[in-house]
Amino acid sequence: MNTAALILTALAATFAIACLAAAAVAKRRKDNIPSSRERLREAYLHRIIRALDSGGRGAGKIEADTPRRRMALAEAMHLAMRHTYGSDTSVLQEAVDRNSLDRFLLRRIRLSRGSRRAYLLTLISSVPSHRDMASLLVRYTRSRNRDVRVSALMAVMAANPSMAVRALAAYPYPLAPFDTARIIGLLRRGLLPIAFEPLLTNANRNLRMLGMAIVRNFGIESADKSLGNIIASDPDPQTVREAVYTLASLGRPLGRAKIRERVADFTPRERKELCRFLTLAGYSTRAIRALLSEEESRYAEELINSHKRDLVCKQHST
Amino acid sequence: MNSGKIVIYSRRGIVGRMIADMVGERGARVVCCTSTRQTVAACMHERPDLVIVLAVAPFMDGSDFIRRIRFDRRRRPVVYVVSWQHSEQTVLSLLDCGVDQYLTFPLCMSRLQRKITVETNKSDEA
Repeated sequence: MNTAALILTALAATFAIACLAAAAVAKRRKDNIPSSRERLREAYLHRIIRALDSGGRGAGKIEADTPRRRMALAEAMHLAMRHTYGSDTSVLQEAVDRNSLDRFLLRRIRLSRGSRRAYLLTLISSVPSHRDMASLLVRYTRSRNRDVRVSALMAVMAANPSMAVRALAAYPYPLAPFDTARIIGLLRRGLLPIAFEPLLTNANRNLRMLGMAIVRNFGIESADKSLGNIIASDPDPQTVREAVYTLASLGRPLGRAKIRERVADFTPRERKELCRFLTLAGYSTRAIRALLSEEESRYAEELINSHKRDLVCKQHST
Repeated sequence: MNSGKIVIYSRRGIVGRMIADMVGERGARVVCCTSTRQTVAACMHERPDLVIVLAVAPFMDGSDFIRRIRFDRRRRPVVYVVSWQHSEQTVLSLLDCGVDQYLTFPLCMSRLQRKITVETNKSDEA
């Protein structure tokens, strides 16, 4: 009896302590009070921004002597690199070399699993590292976990930008739009070269998709002809669909016979989706009528004339 | 070197303070806020030359954020919005709202600093 009472008391005490700890954490979050780890990360971020701003002069050496500090430094570098571009990163490279940050992250990646591994791979993709790092990370691009292999691909591309296209071509899985958006993020930071034309004509589906994403994101109107070729001859319906959307986002005419033929092969749901997109992109009902059926054109007209267009626009913008 | 006043709003405090580090190096006085209420209060108290908003949501939630930060008609702060969104629709809506500049992440530090120096110098001259 006594033992049971003791166990129950111990359990109740543990539960009470856990509740108090959770309440304290919730209060800190509500009051925006940073944890010690966050404070450390912020201190490093402050020094990194100062170093980037001054080109390394007067910022002092960035030291991280414990694993906790190294992790905070890596997170701070990731934040800075993710939000900025065009700065001289040699000062960060020096900090990485001094603190063996890339080797530290590589060891952590080896020991971790799942989303933690993917997070660490994302961190290493922001840390300026040497080219040989790419060969050490390649094996993770074949991981069964999708998040891990895409993060590894980003890290490989960032470590050796001159081999980025080759790394992407060797990637054995089809890229989802979200993955392409992550690669575009690297492009926007100036880490990869923007050479869209060879990508659009490449036999590899992933490279064609990336090429179209570049055209769409940077509004490259001269890609009109290559997109027309993809629509006319590509066997993959998803690639054709992406090419039609890319052409529409550039505001190009869509009334050509080849485009009409390929759009006719879309499922009713895909055609309705395209109809909504064209309406939103500002295509006239006449242009939509040339591409879609009479019934679908009426839907576009309704969308334009009714309050739904406002709703569509607001949904798109928030 | 200038002596302008800047208010920065970001829900993620660390990002706001990172931008403050970028622009504060040039001698401007910078106040960071993590809520729209705080931002409006800071604008009333500090009367800044420039407000940098690192989000799009405050302009879309119907709270009339821009009118509240420009409560004083005689001293109209310049409003910059920085966000990850590239959509043309978003940019046009924000410019319609009265936002002066829309920038997208990632930012070029030197370009942002130069823009801000020009803005704060303009208001100093005025």
